[in-house]
Amino acid sequence: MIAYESRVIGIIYTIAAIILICFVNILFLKSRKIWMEKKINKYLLKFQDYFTYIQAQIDSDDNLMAPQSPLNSLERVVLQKKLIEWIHHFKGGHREKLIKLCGDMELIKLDLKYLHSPLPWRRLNAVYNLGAMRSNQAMPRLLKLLEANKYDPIIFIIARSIAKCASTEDDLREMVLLLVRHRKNVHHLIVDIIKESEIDSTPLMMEFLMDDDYDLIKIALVGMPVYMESNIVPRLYRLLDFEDEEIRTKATGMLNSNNRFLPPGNGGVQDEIERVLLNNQAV
Amino acid sequence: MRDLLLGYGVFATYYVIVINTLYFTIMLFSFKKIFSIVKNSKFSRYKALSGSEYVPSISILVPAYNEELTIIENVSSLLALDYPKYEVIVINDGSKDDTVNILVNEFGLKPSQRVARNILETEAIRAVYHNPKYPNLYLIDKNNGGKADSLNAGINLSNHPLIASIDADSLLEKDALIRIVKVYMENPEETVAIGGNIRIANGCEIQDGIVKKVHLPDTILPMFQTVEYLKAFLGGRIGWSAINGLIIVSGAFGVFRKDYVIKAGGYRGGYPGEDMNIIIKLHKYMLENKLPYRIAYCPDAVCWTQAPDSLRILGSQRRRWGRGNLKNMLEYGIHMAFRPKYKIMGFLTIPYNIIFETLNPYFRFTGFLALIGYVLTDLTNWHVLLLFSLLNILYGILLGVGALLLEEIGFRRYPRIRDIFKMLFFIVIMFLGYQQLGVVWRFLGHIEFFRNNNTWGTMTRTSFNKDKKTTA
Repeated sequence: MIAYESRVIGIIYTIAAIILICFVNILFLKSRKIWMEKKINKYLLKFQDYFTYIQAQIDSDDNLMAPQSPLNSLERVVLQKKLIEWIHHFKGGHREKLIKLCGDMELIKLDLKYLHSPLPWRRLNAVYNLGAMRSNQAMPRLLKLLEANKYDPIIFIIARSIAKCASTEDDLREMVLLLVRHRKNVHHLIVDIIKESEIDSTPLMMEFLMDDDYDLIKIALVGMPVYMESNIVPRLYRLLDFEDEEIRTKATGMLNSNNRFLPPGNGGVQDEIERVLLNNQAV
Repeated sequence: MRDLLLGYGVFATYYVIVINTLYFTIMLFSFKKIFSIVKNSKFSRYKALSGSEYVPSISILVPAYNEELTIIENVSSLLALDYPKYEVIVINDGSKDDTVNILVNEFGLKPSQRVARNILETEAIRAVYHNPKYPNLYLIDKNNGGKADSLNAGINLSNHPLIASIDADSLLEKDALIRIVKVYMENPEETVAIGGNIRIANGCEIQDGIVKKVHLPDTILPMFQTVEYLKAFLGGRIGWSAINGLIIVSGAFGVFRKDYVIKAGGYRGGYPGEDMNIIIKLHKYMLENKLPYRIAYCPDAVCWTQAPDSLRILGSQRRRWGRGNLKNMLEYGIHMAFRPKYKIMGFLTIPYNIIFETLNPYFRFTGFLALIGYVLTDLTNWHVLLLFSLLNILYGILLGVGALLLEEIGFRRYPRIRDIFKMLFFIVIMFLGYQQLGVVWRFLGHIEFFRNNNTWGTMTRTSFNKDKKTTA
């Protein structure tokens, strides 16, 4: 009985201590969040004139000037967040001006440094920022990070940054190959990521369509533009004979949506298309 | 006799320690997973994805029985979701109120030629309504057959490869669907179901079907349920999903692969607990066919729901849950427990559910009674009872505070410091009557089960505008 009681008392003390630790942490996190919000609002107010200046000058031929006074780390974060928000929003020359401003303010340089940080949070933040700021200098390191990461949702954040930073088809190809090696059938998501890039992905899709790798073929079949070139038609017909049902269905769908490529009076192909379509209407 | 009472009391104490330690271990998995959830949520651009043509299309199924007060707001909120390709299928399950007419008038619906396929058996469909002005809204009017039957009817009419089940008294956040579908897109081959996070809407400011400001409920019962849901969804389900042992995806909001739901036989009618039932069947189907799969949970895809605010309604809901749980355990659980082919389900989830959820009322209650009996035979041993109670309460508080910490790390929906203290207060006082009531309701649910009471029970709907009430 005494042993039972002392054991239970020990457990009670342990639980009480863990509760206390948790509660202190909750209060710390809440207070910190409230403090941060106040600070951020204060800085947003402080930069109001500067933001107005950027909006007024975004259409002019002159470069945007960085803020005159030196920035502390939280001010830099607040400013960068706003600039990135605008970079997402704008396209073309406006976006380039904002990216150049980020470079002038040494935000890119700083994030390139953070890309090597041992702290995962800081590293991921840098990955995201560098993607938004389209920094091609980050590419080798981003590809290394993508290669080193195990399969989890973080790899898609890295991949999206790579797509944004990519300046050549090779960058995109390497990114796709690194994603495909996990063999998780994420073809739609990969195409969505590729489309984030400013590079025309059509040649890459053509290349993937001609490849032997089923995943690459599927990516091509998802990402190929609706109005495709006639030179891929023979390949699409060959795909109708592939073992993989998904490839056959997608190839059929593509041929079917481009009726002009169906040979007149070719009942055999039409029958095959109908057969595949019917098979895949099961549910 | 005294020794027997003490022995049983000690057994009940260890039962409490084991059940809570197991739950705490699951919570540690939640802590492990929460950081990756936060990172993913912070750096994923859902807005861009919600405009993407590469997102899979989805059919949202809304079973409705006597939902005249909330249905318009619910459907309006669903029609305004940030999602590229989806259809909303409301299934009127033979409501006795004006649900159908209200929908028909509000959205100008007319009888449609669209025919539901006969994939899953359901009660007879009276009509399908549609209005081309709202191209992605359909209404099925069918004979009463229960929630599961309605979901099956919705599946028969649906056009898309994914289905989402949503309660008619719930509101989805605008980006909830894209968040949950992103989880699917990250592993479409293996993901067969994903659960969303259910939060209590009582007390929040709601406008046009959208939660504008988050507040804690002003009344006691919804407040208890708020902390209870935090514990269950953040403390429990994140952890269970991390080890692929999730046994339930809430009927209020979940997304499923339609092909596998059909292969598993669709929703089971005739009994409550259809949300747990479909998940057990999906686990069973995938494991028996040796298919790689996962049942995921997405805590940042939020669905706001109305919590019952009277003891009568809450009791009815909890008894129904008790019946549903018992039915599922008798129908599937006992056949899956400790069988190697069911892996985590067979060795952890199902035994945990049987021993610590289904049988919980019996062990806890009788253990407490045994200790009272023991103390009554010798009042000098009052401290034994005190230790048992203290252990019970402190462990419960620990799980509640752990869930609060997860909320603070990951989501921070309740903005003020006083919200923390209010929730903590309710976490503590829920052990002074509310939890015991829950045990009694579950026990009564079991009695109803053995008396063959399969009804849904009373459910009063309150309009999100707070000024109207109706009973279903």
